Amino acid sequence: MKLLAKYNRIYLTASIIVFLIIGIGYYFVISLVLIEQLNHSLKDKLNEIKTYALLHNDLLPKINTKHQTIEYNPTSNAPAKYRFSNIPQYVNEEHEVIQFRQLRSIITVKGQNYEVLIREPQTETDDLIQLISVITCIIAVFFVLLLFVINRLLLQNIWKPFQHTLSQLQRFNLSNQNEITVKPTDITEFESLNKAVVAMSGKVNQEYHSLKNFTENASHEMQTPLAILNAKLDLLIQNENISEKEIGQLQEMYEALTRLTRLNKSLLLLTKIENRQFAETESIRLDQIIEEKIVQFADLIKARNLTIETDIQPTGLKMNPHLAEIVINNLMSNAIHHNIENGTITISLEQQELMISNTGSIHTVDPEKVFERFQKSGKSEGLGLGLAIVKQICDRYNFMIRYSQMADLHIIRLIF
Amino acid sequence: MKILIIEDEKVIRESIVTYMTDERYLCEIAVDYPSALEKIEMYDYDCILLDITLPGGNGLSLLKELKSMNRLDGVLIISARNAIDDRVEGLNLGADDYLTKPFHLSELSARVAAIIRRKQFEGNNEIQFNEITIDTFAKTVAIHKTPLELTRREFDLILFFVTNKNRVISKNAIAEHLWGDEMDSIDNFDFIYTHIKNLRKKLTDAGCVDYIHSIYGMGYKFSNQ
Repeated sequence: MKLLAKYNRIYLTASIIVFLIIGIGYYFVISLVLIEQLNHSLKDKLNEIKTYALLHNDLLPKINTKHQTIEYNPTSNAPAKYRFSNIPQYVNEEHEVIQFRQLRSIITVKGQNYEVLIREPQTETDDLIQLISVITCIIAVFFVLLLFVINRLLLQNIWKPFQHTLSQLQRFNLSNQNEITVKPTDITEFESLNKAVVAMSGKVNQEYHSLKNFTENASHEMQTPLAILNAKLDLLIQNENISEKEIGQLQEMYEALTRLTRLNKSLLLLTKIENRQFAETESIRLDQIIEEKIVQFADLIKARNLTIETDIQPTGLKMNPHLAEIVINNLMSNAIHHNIENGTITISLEQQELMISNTGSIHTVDPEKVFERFQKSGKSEGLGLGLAIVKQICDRYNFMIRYSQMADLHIIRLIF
Repeated sequence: MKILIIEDEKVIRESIVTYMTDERYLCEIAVDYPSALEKIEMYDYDCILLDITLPGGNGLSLLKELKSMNRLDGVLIISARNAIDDRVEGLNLGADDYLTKPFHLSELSARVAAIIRRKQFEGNNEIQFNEITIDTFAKTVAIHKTPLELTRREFDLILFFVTNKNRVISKNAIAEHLWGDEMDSIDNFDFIYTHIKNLRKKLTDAGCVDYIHSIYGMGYKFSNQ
């Protein structure tokens, strides 16, 4: 989850920095407060000594406990203001050196200047500070972790509608024409996203549809004027008083018309296959279709004096029978059409593969382009749609089709 | 023979009428669904040419009407749509044949003749043209009553010729009639010439007059003259 990772990273870094700053600040504040407390305790004692000295003109008798020690040192220095300092001292009972907070002042009693030292150990203070720091750290860590977990759960949940929409988008396929479904969500941005996605996909589907329909409709529309031309030509040739020159022209018109008609039919077929018509599938026997086609094409094969070699195993496939016939028809037609006089055609069929090869010209054809529409090699009069239709059908059933060439042998392979 | 041509496209309709009238058919026309329905209800026909993309109603409904009236008229559907579904539905609804536009008029004529033969003479389909006898049911040909060996293509060819006698038939039309879809691979129509040559030879060898006339550059005409 890239977003969550990023969010977590930023969030964690920020949290840690903030907590660090807060922690350190907090530590210092607590230290200050506690030290101030100590200072006050020492100052109180000093004031007590001073008050006693004023009242009784004597030094306060010192009672030294573990928690406070008082020292009177006669000195010749002038009376001075008090001063705080930290003094490490070895304490016998504890067998270690302990930090003391010391207050030093010089007072005058009975005409004699005394250096007054009041000391209190900082251990308790230090311990307290440590404890507070640790607790604060633990709380901070706990807090950060808790938020981390909550965030992860929350984010996962919140982003669910987005994930759903995203997967729908990824699955969207123009030729499948599936609708994008979105789940309603109460997050404004996602709702907007969903609306936009649905609208866009709907529009895209529609445009695709009408484009497809357009091609099909255009082809259909062309049938009628083609039919008219055909009919008129048929009637025209009944006229016996046509000169030779005009007959030649009529024949050329006829041929052009035939090509146009065939082109239109092929285009129509192509768009129908693209539009996923011919949906019914059956179990068909490809070997039988090939045998039938060889019989049908017998005249043409003989006309060009071609030899056919076959190696055909019984092969069953599940596809639309009409489309299967078109594939074989176009492949054979292609093999005959692009052949040379006295050439050969070799057909081999087994469960996984169909191979059909023919002798032909040695002009090289780009194997990538050979299945595109209207690709023609030099001399051919063919439409160039035959193989494109075959490819379209292969794509539909996920068959692989490959063209290769070895010298004058052109080979087409279909892998099921 | 009386036929009804139901076709909304004027030029095609008139072309069919011209051609079929020359073939000695009596032609009646209807240009839309209501008038077609009217004609069907009032008269009987030997064959009805039905364009299913009719204005005012789907031509297939006319078929249903015919069926519900238990009529024996032959029906040839002509249509710009080559959808398999339409074909199947049409034939299921009782049409006798289905022809897609564009088609050659000679092809149309051959199909109409075939339909009429099937409808009228149950089992006994003989066509006579001078010394040629064609049995369309048995698919045999006899010259002066003597059977003649013909290949399937040659049989189709002579039947096509006889059905369209006295008409000039283009090479294209012949090729399409005999080879239909494999046409794509034909560069030129020279080998049609070979077939016709073979047919001619067989006919003349059997003592038949050569009725097949080459119309230079265009095609052929099967006639008496």
